[in-house]
Amino acid sequence: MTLWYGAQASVKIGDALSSVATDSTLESQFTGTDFSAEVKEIRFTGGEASVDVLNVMGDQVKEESRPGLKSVEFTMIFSDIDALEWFGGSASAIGATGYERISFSDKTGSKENKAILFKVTDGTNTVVILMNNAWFTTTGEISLAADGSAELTMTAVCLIDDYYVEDNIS
Amino acid sequence: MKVKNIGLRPISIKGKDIKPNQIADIEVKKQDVEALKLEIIEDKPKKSKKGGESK
Repeated sequence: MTLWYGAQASVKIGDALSSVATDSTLESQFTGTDFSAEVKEIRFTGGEASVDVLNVMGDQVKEESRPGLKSVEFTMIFSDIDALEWFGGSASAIGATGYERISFSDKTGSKENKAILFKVTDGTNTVVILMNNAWFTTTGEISLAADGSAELTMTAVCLIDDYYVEDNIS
Repeated sequence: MKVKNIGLRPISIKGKDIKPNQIADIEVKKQDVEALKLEIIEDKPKKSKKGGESK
């Protein structure tokens, strides 16, 4: 049995894979930026396919629901606006000021398909989770306590069809 | 092509990690260059076919 620790984990975000090959690892197909040094906590939830009881005359049968969206929420250090681009799109330079700005849109239909790759490894054993074609659903929850440092919480969802897990542990 | 990671964060291209300021010899899609904060150091031209085919 392997116990995984935060120091063994990495979190990378990139553009969605156009397709996921079945003959190569998820990581070898992924291209993106490594945000591991900023992520403090990550949580994968959702993807539930609930089962209800269906009462019929003289018997009960199980009624299955189709799976819901898979969700990931992570809390990270808020150091710049790069992570906010996942929701708002690419930042644009503001003239020659050295600043960049994200202008958020009130329109639908402009979400970018992203890929989120989570990996834990001890150098031998590796577990990988990939959320492909993920959409970020928040502009970013930014918080700062007087006795703490600035944090950013982001949430993304994907269809269960776009959720992959793999390992090399036999 | 040779590219340099000019961003603040490590990037990963098809399983190959490139740390900030590191130069790597790797094929990158043109549209990924800006998104990944890469600078092209050397772009190898595509080899052209020399001569025609003989019958």
